[in-house]
Amino acid sequence: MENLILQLKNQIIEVLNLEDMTAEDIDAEAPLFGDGLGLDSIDALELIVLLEREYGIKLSNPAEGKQIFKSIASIADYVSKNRKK
Amino acid sequence: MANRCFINSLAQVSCQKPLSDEWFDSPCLYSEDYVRAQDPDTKGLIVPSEARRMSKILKRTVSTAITALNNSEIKNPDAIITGTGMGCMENSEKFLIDLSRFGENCLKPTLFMQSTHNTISSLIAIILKCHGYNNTYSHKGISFESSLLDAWIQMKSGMIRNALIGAHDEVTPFMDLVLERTHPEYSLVSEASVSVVLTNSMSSNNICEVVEIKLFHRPDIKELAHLLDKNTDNVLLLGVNGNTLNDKPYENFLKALSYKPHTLQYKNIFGENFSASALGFYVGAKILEKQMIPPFLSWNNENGYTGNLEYITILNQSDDTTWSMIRLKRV
Amino acid sequence: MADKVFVTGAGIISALGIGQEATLQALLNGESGIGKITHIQTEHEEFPVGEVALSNAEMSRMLNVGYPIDGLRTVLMGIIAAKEAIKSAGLTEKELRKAAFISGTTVGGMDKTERHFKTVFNSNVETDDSLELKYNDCGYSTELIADNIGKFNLVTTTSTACSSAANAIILGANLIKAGVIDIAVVGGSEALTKFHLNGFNTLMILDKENCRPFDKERMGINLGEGAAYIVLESETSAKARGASILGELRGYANTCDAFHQTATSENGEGAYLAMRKAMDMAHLSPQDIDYINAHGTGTPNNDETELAAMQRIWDYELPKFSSTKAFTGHTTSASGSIEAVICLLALQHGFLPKNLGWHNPMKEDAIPVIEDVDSSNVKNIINNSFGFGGNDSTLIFSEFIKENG
Repeated sequence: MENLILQLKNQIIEVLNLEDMTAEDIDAEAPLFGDGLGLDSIDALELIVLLEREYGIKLSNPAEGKQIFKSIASIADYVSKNRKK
Repeated sequence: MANRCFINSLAQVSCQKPLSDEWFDSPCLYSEDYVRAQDPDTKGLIVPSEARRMSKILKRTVSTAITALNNSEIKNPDAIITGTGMGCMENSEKFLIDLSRFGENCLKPTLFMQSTHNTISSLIAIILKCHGYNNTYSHKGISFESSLLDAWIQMKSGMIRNALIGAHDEVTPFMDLVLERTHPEYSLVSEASVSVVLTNSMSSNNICEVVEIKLFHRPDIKELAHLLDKNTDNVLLLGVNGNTLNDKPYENFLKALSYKPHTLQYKNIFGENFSASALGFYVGAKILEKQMIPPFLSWNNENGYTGNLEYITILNQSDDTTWSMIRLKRV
Repeated sequence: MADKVFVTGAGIISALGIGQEATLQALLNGESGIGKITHIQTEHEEFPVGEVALSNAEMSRMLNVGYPIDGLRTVLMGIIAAKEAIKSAGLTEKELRKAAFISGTTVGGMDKTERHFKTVFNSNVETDDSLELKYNDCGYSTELIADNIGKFNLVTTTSTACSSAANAIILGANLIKAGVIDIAVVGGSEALTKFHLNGFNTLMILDKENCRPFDKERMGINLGEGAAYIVLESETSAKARGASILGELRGYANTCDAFHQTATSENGEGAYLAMRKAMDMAHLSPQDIDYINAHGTGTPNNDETELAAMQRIWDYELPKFSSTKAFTGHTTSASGSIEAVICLLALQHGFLPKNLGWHNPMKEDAIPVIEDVDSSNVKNIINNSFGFGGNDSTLIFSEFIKENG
């Protein structure tokens, strides 16, 4: 799980172009949206694309993302249970 | 239409030093055919969490817009109107590349969202929280003039008191290769981002006045020449670029004039792209403000200019199909 | 005081057919033009779209045009619609020479670009295919349309996504009021492309079923394509020419939601301001509005916020309203003028277009036009066009009342 969390952090930094951040800067339990990193609805869509491209997980409804994308930890949990790649 | 239209401030990003008028005294000179713009330092202009999503053209737009507004007396304009000939090329290109390489799945929403031409105008509005009139023109080399005309008629008729206008175009390396094949009339190719604050108020900070803006489509050159008068149009700033294909229409126009004006150029130091005429506008305004013509802007004159610098008339043509005429006056 | 601005001609092509008459019949019969995608090679056949039935080859033959226009769908449709508008207004070459042509598009020739892009990119632009990219920007698209319909005084292009055509109409009206021109042929054209079909899909706002604007269960957009132009004319010019007047462009406004690039603010601020300002210009109060042709794309976000904006103005006494996007699909840049022509047909022929696909209200009182209604007293119509980036525009078309004596 540790490896997956680190991998996700780096992928998210790349995909969302969080230029000045490194994996160490992101707390795996911290909220991603609203407070915390302050991501928005477009970032959520990018994360949906990331899940499909890297892990073969297809979300058909953006609303599903709300629970999954709460934090890096919750994403890692979801990915480890549902990944096809 | 009794209201007047003044330029209150301007800012530029181009292949010259960004957000600066250093080009006026010591311009960067290029021997290459293609030069990218010098990007400004965006610290203090753009919040990092917003900058992360912005492509080059958007960063430049915000930099010039915020700088022009900071240097003006207007904080929240009545209108935001921009021109862009090709729009957000970097994002459009990336989206097309992904489509070509990976097919129709796992494409990136941010690229699409920020590929439409109006991303530029609306981004400024979002940052300023400006609910005023917001429009984008995309008409080749007169995209800027279209924006200016829109703002001008609204200001003249009292619909708006001020406006933030501009024109922005980026040229990616791939696009430059395409332009070499599709636009043989180009010379030095570069990029442009120009923002201008216009106001109808008199102010000691105003740089000059816009007294006329006209667009023409396939005009009769003799009729066009007839619109110019040696008293108000004795200094002409032309979109010549050293390439015969591009310059011939200007030469034909000058032959049709009944007098010999002093002629200037700007593309020799700013290069060519669909928003280049906005840089011409910038140059014209600065000449009137500083009451001086940099010698390297002279084009086909026998002598230096000794007359007064009351007016500058900027002429631009795109494909010898659309023409624009802008007359600026000293304040 | 500035002249009134009248509409003296109209032309249209969409999934409903070619021309005003075909469009009228489809609207009266409640026949949607939405169906399976046929003109584009795409994996995403699951999305219903509102395509113009004709292929590029068929439109080229109809217009007797060749290269490069035969490969540019936005241009082909634009020529067809603009020709009808000019003919219906009875404009001569001389009159056009003093007129403006303003067209709205975002896609331009992207349909052609995307067909050649891979080859050009992979060859590092060494292939002659790269020349196929020359005429594909927005401005060229407009000029190719202009060159095939007349010689104009002024030509330019608006590009504000889904409000492009509405903004072309607004510029035309402002130029007439400023006395720069007396006549303007204004509107927009947009062809379906793989680029924006996939683009909208990445935003997850396309519906796999036929769209259901203002329905509780709505799931998103059906994209469409088409072109429409109207002829705007100053009152003085129209009367001098003895032109037949389809209606008056009585008011309009362009505002910005200034909230987000693709989502609308919860209280629909931009939409609210656009409708209010347009009514102010028209000197009309909310009670004077008889029908709203809503933007109504069928997305959860747009319809909710547009309705919120309407309720801020009309509270629980909404005028009759409907979205016609279940007829034509969302024709993006052309939607402002396609729906303007629909509004003008409604004014002239005394009917209100139905909101197809609707079954359940979002809110109790928000029931759009779903059956034939008495439209004999319809005098003032609002036409909304809201684009990405919060580019919100409202047009108000009013019945033209002939003065006696």
